[in-house]
Amino acid sequence: MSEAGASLVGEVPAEPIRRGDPSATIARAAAWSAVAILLVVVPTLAALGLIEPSSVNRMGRYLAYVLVALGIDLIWGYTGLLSLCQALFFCLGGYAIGMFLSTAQGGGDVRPEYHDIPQFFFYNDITALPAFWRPFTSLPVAIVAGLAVPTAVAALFGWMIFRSRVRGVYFSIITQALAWAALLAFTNHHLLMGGTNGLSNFFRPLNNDRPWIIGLYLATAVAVVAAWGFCRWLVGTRTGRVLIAVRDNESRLRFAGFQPVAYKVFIFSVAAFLAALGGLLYTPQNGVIGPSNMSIDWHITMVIWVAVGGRGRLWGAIVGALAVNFAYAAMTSDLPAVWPFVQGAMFLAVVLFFPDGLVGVWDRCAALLRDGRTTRAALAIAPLAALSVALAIEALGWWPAALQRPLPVLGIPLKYLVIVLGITAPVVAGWLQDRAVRVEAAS
Amino acid sequence: MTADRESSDVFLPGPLDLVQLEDVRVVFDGFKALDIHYFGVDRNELRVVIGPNGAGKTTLCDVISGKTKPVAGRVMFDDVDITHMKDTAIAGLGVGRKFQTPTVFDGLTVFENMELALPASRGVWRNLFARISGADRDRIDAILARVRLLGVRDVLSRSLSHGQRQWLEISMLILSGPKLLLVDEPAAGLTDHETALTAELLTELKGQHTIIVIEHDMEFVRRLASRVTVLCEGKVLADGPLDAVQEDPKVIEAYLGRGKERA
Ligand SMILES: Nc1ncnc2c1ncn2[C@@H]1O[C@H](COP(=O)(O)OP(=O)(O)O)[C@@H](O)[C@H]1O
Ligand SMILES: [Mg+2]
Repeated sequence: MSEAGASLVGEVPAEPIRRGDPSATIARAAAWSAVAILLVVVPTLAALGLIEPSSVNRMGRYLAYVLVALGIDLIWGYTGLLSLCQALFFCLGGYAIGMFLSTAQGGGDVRPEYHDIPQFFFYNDITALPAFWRPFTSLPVAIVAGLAVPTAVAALFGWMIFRSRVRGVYFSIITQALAWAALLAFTNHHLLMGGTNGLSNFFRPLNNDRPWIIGLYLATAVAVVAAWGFCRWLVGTRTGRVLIAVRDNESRLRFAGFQPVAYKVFIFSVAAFLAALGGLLYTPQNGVIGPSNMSIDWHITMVIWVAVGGRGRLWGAIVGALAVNFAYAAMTSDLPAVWPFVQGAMFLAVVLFFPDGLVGVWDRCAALLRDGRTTRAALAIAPLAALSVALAIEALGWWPAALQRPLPVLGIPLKYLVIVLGITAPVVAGWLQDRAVRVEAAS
Repeated sequence: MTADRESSDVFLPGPLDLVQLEDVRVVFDGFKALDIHYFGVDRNELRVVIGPNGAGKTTLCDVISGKTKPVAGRVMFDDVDITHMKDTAIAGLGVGRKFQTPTVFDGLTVFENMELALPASRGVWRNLFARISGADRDRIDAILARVRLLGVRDVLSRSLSHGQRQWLEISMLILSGPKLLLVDEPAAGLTDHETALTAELLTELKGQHTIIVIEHDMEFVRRLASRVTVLCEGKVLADGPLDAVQEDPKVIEAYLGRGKERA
């Protein structure tokens, strides 16, 4: 229709996806199957002992990351504000529940020789629980504080930043500075939060006993489904439209009588809330929360999840967080040194060739389906489908032994090749397809 | 007739004027972009502002809408002193604006763009639970039909043509129902055919809205058949019906002088 339409790399189709569209039907079916797998299939398989408890625990932790990713998508994908301190909010939630879990009341591993309080206090010469720790001996208080404090910090901090019309890259830099300051504070053992080691020695069964593991997994899965529903509702409201308008043209919005500051503070707080919820659910499953969970590169890694998945679309954030983390898990079990290169390559590929991430692959496929070009659509989606299968096998811990053994010449297991190919193939395929479209348009 | 007009009555404040700029000066890095003794627009008047490039026309809009603050003088709107008010607050008083380069929200559909222009609440909480009424939906559709955008109602506005974007922005302005419409170069970059439709739209609004239209295209200005103010180097040079203004030696001089510079 428009001249610009075909030539732009990664252009989103102009026509919104309508009901009755083949791709819309597939998308809806995929969404419902995902919900069923998360809430029913996985717990059942786990209860039957068909999935190792360690794999269930890992799924639970990665689902907690999905909550953070949803928040990042709201603030960055929808509203256009690149926040580089989401891991801080995640940690504030995590520390709150971690405080409860390390006390005697929370089942923490406390000992009489350390005065029945968390052991690290020994290094601070403290013999009784400090006053600010005492409320956290109650689970409800820990949960409420773990959600309310990060949300309030984001609201206050956001109000201060946005009120002075800090924009674009300056916003990112300021959030990064906040993250730095918080990291320094939490690393300092005078804060009485465990210093560099953070909080650990929780109630042992949490991440060791099958019923606890399945229970916490289920709680996280329910939270993810609920958060996804909430985000879907939010972006569908008029407030959601205003968020997109903030991203597209903030000053225009002001001349229409809107206060962009209010919307930015609101969405920053919502994103912080989701990150904190993620931290609350992550910590008991991980068994430890510490400054390493808010290291500087970690904030950026979280953004990469959303970039790889595709920003500005909720399922992009969900799929991105899961795909990157399971790819990470698959590659680092034997070859941790390779991972930074793989992650760097993924990020570069996304930035250079693939601004719409995995969502873009699907959009291309959907457009082909609409045009009735089923074969090309299937070809476009095939590498992505293969990658999904590989990552699902990783998630369930079901790799056949043959794929795990190192290959004779290369010295690495076949499963790495499957995953690396799965990640690069959609990129290459997308690029080739763009070329094909351009050649077609030119002739 | 033109001669005594400019020296006497038109520069005197009209007590009923909806917009009044009194002794307003705008300076950018020592450069006087605007220096107006008096500029007023009456209620329900359509006023056209013309002038060579860089005359300060857009700056005049910026001052009224609060985007730029004058270094001296007073800006009144509807008997309220808005000189030091914020842009959002001025918009809240009923000053609506169409920018020189069409600005619509690319990531929203045509209909969603219109929805944000509805004169409803602008608050975060209210908009979480706001639902569009059937009457509003019909109004939006009626305006979209008028500007021939109904067919692309559910299309993302990033894929609209330049003309369609201009109309979408004008439609949003009309829908928001401001007391004053500031319309900066609505015909820029349009085909003759599109220009004619835009002129028709504005003449339809004439009489029920207070409008300031800024335009270069003389054919377009002629179609609007309204009182014209000529700006040049930040000053009001002449004022009156188009024919009279075009015969004004000072205006001819300003335009020709420019022409010589360019040649
Ligand atoms: N923000 C600004 N900073 C510096 N100079 C500006 C700014 N805005 C406008 N000007 C200058 O003020 C003069 C008037 O500009 P403008 O109002 O845009 O003219 P017009 O719309 O009549 O073409 C021009 O010389 C322009 O370069
Ligand atoms: Mg201008």
